[in-house]
Amino acid sequence: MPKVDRLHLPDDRYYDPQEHLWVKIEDGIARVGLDQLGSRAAGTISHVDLHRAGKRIARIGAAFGTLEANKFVGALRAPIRGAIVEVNPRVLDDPRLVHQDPYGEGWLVRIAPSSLDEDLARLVHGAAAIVRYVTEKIAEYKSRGILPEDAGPTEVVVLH
Amino acid sequence: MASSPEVLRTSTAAALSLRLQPGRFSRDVELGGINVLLDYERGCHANCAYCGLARERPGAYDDKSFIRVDWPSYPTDRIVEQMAKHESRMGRFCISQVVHQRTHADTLDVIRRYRAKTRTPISVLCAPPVLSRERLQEYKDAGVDMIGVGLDAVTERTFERRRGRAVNGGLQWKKYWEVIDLSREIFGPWKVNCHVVVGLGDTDREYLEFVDRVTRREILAYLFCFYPEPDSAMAGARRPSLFRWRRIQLLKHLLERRRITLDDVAYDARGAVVAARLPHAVVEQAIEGGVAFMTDGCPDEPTGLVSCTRPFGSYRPSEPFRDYPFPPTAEDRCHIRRQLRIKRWVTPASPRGEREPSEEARCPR
Repeated sequence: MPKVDRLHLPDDRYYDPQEHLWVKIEDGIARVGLDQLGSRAAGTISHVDLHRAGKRIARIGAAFGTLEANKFVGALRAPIRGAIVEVNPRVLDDPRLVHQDPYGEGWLVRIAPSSLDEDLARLVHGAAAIVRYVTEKIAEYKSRGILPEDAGPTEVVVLH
Repeated sequence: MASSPEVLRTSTAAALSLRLQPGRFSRDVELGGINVLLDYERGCHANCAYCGLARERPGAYDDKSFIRVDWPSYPTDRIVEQMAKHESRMGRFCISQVVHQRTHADTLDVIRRYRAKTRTPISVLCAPPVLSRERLQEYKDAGVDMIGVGLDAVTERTFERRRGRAVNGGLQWKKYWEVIDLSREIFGPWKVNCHVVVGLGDTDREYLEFVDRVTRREILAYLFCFYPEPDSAMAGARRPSLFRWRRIQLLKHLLERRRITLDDVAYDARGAVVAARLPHAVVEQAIEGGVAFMTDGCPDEPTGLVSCTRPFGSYRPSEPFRDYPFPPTAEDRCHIRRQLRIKRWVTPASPRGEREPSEEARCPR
């Protein structure tokens, strides 16, 4: 019987399905990180580079850093507008945190949002929408060979 | 713990291409050349100064990186199954040996399992210390069509310093050449290749003289660019500059195709290229063709194009390409032109009256 793979996604945050970034609002500040599917799809992450605190993000999709895996490098593109108020120094020193604790110690930046309601409206939120987003992406990534095609079913676990 | 022939290690790139591991390639590179490595608990008995698998490199053998990345271990039959399943996009299967007493028997075992399921060509990147004429012949009889020899150094001086007595490595220059000679005899012209690593201590002159020498014998030279493995004896050594690397790539390509001779290249007292007299059209053709700057490696069938492209093998994905795993695009060729700095060292031997377009005209900023 094939092993069931589990992907965890907490439902207390918003997700950008294109960039695999999550946004969690804490006292008006948005904490941003990579979701578990994004960290798997990248491969083994070896380096994370982040713009400094103070950097303004004028548009959604603006790069705020890069993420590099053994065979892949890509820009980290902001899911919301605002200004970076803090970057996670631990993840710069130890990029493996993005894999090991994607929703905790592996966070990337904190952003003071400038148009929060408008930006959150375009992100995925709520258990049903999260499951739909991840399920569709898994199917796409299996067909593109980014996820092993015969790794068995993937169970999407939404954490409440 | 399982070892070969029941398990093999694959390169990270091969694991991605075989859909054994999640992950992706930058620029959507497609890889059809699958590299596997025999796997033993105690690892390789050699101790090469630059190698991630060196006997004296700290750490458990299973955790050691090799050529910059991890080499995960999988059951041999699973790898063979995936090769068969994806046969239409596979170009070659290469078994890398390590210096170990079971290497020969296990190589044959893996070849037989593989041949029972797929027809994709097989190379063996051999470990000369464990080989003989009879053993090489057995590989050929079992279906191997190409033999690689990881010579890595092009002079006995550098070989001894990096792989031989100086590092207590136990490898012998003479034995490596004996296996190259035997392989050439058994496998025929253009079926034997020598891997050489730029940056181990040989000079430009020595690399180019080596390329010229083996090409005359219808043996292939495959260039690799040195990348320092953390914790290896050469962890602190510098990589060759892009300028040096590109220059060697270009001159090697032109020498192999007999577009120039060694007499067209001038060196300083330390053996570094300082000038070359090259027809303008020949240089242009090489840059625009792009092959000179692509990965050297064994070809697939029937196209004859390089299958073993080792994407991001000797450079990080965030760094400039060292060898391109695909034909360089127009934008890539502009980077190559800048890295080559042709005007600094090439004396054009253009036909009278031919005008060269400026760099700016070719690569607008």
